Amino acid sequence: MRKGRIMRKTFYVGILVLLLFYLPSIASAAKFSIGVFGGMNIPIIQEDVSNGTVFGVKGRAMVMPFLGLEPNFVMSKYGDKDHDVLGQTMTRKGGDITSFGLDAVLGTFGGFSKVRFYGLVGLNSNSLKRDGIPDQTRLGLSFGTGVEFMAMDVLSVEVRARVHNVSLEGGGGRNNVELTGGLNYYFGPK
Amino acid sequence: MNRQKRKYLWLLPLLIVTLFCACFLIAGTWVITFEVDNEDIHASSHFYKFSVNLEDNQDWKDNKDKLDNIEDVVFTFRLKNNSSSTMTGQVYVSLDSNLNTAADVESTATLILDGISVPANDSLYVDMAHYYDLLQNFDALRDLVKTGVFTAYGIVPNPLEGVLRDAVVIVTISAGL
Repeated sequence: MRKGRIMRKTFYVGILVLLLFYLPSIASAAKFSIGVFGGMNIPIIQEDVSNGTVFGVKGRAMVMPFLGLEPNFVMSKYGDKDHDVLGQTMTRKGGDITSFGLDAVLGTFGGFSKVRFYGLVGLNSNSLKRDGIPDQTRLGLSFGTGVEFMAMDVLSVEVRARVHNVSLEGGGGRNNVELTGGLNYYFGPK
Repeated sequence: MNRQKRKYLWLLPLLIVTLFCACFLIAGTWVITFEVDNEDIHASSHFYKFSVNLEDNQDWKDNKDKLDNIEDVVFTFRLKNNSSSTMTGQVYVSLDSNLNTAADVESTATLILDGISVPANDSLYVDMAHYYDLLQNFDALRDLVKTGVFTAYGIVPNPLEGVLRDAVVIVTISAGL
């Protein structure tokens, strides 16, 4: 548990250092955006839960033509799971994960193309809640890919697939694929 | 390195991190359902008792060497009260299958369910939802279950005036692939 607290503090300090380091260049960067997204949360090899939903908000600041930083806040839910117990169906509630973190996105953001492809990797802090068992706050990793279509100069439509891994107290982890669609609003100098 | 290849060099860090993250995908969560044979539930003047040996389960055998964590443990059962007064009870779990009296159980085993109540001449089915209302000492229960072999003791005032049956233990484990 002490190791977990030290890791969380290190994570928060790391996020702050990254933001302070890049803040001057973010302020003078070409564009930044805010966005909302939602979709499906698909657990990978997890027999005790089923598909659920995911919603979130994020910002993006381009620090280089091909590199952006995205702070994000995500709420994912697992679906309930039915279990056959001696011929009776019993339902176990799935639970949910509330997460905030920072993703780095690398892709084809420069140029005049209306379609942008990118990959992402990130770190996040996750709060796991499930009825009947103690809550946990754990670190997680994320990686994935996305496609963004610039519908207008200031508005884009985006779809992405993000794998979200959350470590568990005592060992192991839960892996989920988040398939989402979203909208981003751009502001800042062109 | 020519310009064309240098253009894609920025993908290298992404590839490295992706491979690193992929290492965390090699884990999963499985649900093991252990049905206790009614003939294996013993009643004495002190308590009900049954033992659980997860080694009998193929999923446990396949994953026990890669076991990371016991995520969840659920007990479901039916308790019939044939007496003319309300039957109240508790469930304890222990690694010791040879406890002899209710006092031994209460002093050495781990209390996991408290507040069971069955009206006179009635029965109670403790399902998943009701189980979580009664659950105590979840962390200690998880540690006991991790051994794979444990014994459950049901303490009620007059066990021989009731029947414990249809007991099922559902264990959710997290293990590497």
